[in-house]
Amino acid sequence: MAYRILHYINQFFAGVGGEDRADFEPKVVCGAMGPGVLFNGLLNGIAEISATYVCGDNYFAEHTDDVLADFSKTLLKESPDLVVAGPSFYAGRYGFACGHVIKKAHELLGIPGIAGMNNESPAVDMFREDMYIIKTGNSVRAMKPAVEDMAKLAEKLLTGAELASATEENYFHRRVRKNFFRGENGGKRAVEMLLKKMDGEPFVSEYIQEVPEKVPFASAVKDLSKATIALLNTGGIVPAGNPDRIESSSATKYGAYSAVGCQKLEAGKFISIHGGYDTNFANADPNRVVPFDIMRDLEKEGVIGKLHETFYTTVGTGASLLNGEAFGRGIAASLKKNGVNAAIMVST
Amino acid sequence: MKLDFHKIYVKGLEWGDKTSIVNGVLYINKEEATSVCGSFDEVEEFSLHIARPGESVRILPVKAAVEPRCKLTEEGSIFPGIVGPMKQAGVGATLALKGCAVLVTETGDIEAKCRTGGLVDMSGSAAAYSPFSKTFNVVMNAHVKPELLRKETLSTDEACRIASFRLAAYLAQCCADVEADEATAYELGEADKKLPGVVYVMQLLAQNPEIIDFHVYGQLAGTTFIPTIVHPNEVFDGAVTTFLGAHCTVCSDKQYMYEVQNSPVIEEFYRLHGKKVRFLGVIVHNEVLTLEGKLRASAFAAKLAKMMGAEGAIFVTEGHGNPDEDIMLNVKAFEDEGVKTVIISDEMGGRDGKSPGLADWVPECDAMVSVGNMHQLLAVPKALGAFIGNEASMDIIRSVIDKQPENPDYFYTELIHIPCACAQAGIANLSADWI
Repeated sequence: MAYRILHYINQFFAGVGGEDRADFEPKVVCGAMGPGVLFNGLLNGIAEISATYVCGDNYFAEHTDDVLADFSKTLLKESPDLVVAGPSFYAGRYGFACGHVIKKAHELLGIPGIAGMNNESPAVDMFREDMYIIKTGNSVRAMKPAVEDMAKLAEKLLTGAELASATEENYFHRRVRKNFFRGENGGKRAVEMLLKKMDGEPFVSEYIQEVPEKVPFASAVKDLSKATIALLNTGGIVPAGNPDRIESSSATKYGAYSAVGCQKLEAGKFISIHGGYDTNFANADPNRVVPFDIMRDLEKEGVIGKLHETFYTTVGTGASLLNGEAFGRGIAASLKKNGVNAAIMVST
Repeated sequence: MKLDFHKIYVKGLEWGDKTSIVNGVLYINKEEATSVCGSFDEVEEFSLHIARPGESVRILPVKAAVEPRCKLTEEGSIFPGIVGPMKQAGVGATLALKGCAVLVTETGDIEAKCRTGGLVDMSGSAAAYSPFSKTFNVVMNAHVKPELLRKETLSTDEACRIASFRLAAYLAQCCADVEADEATAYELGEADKKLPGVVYVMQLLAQNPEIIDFHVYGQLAGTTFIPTIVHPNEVFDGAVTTFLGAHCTVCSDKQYMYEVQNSPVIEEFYRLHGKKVRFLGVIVHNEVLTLEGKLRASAFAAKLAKMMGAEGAIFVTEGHGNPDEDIMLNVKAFEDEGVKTVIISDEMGGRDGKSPGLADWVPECDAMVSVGNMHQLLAVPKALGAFIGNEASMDIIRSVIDKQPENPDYFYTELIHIPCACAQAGIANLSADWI
């Protein structure tokens, strides 16, 4: 049996009318119409558009929630394997409608969706992470190549074929990196890139990253003698046995460990599971990474108000930035909840 | 400086009475080869094993990979200061056994002091990712002493490091009288001054004076090292050596020696020398841990490039996180001096591929070759037919990952644990791209 596709188009592509009919109310039509006819012809019989959902652009914009509720009913009734929307080219309202219906289909049925937009469409940035948006020209004149790319991708998604990179499939990448084998090794590609760069020829960098935001320094603690201080570390100090199974490298989690009443961290009870330094010294004296002993002295001397008796641990080596950010936010929220005023981060 | 570089392609590997190559098959006298490794207080014994492409053999932890090379002339020196005499390397004639590697692993480290190293499977899903799944490997298994490792790991590493270079030099030396399959003369002759001058910048980890980071002419070139210039022929002769120490790094942090010996950028620059570029030389740069040290090293490297007359530079690196600062400082310093830059780097994209790939970035960095997201998961078989090394090391690459593949006979590991999967000197074809 052929896979079923639900196609979303606006009033213009359904032949209802132009801007004057943009308030056209939703209507479900059996089978393909408009660009869907072209699309159907490209699917090699593997799939077909079982129904077309038509809605006016203004009507969608002004009744978004209602239309999506109605669209959901159609989804459940049609139970498609894929939703295709547009192509909407550079159109603003139409683009948003396409993005919304595909997102809804994914939420409701877990099925993928394909849109087609021009890079100037504001909906691209809003929806690119949630769906495949084929890159199109900026007007209906670019219909044929757009639908061809969409159909090619539809066939791959439906049959579970391996997708090539976003560039090769011609969609706006979803801000995700995946490994592929390229034709030449990295060294050869680097030399080729350098030759082009030195010649002033255009070249494509295989990766460009945004310049990270600089984190401003926090203001100083006004009165240390009244402050509660916590100890954090990226040196992998955990209770023996590593109860949270924190990874020795590229950690995906952090742990919070209580040492209530301890004057120092006992060797043997706490160990380092870090995979990026010689842990012999840290295991012989875990206080060298989490200086519980020194902080207790400072507490007694009244230099600090109080040592927070839970310390926080992760492993820094090879960790991803997003994981690191998430750990930071999680730890900060926990510290704040527990009335901690400042923290010392020991990095290794 | 001229180096005649001879190659013999190894197409088979067997034990034999005499160590030599016959019709492309490398025969090894096991007893003699074992004794060449030497005896060290830190190592009970070395045992040698053979691992061929396609075999159901797993090797873990792989701590080093060295391509066998030796000198064919009195002139020059191989692995100078480690195996060869302390004199000028990169001259005379050198023999390399291509398609062959000495791999180093260990047995007996029951307390996981020394287990850092990668997973090499000679067949199965992981084999597509490591160049050492495609080489004929002489595996040197060091039977280490756990009671010594409890005190320190450096001297055990040193023993393994020295033994591995001895074995690599010995294997090639025994084939010295066999006619080579191929010979190339490497010389940076006069080139048209109108061609742009280019340099290859090797950024190597220099974390701690207590850790084996890298050596130049046998001297530990760690935190006290200042960036310097070497001739590419010296790199071919192993004047710059690397070794994956105990708790030095995870395996993908390091450039295995094999990668250093087989740098494709050096090969390409040589090929294009006098045609499209003037290859000026190699700058060795140490990635130290302090900010002051990083600023110093990058200022030095940029100055050397400028003095050499460079107009273009390619950077290769080791490590992740703080070494990304070295890359970015270098890119900025070189571009500010008008030297065009391209970096080769892996990415720390997270298992979902959504995380930024490097710890930092500067606007001047506009040209990068990606050698892959090393966090990407790979499903590998729980076991192969034979295991060489320390099975306890499986914990490091397996047990910490909660997610499991559908096939119960497989487990997930990250590419970070597969040697040269994300090859930072660019010897592999893996690369990350947007999806």
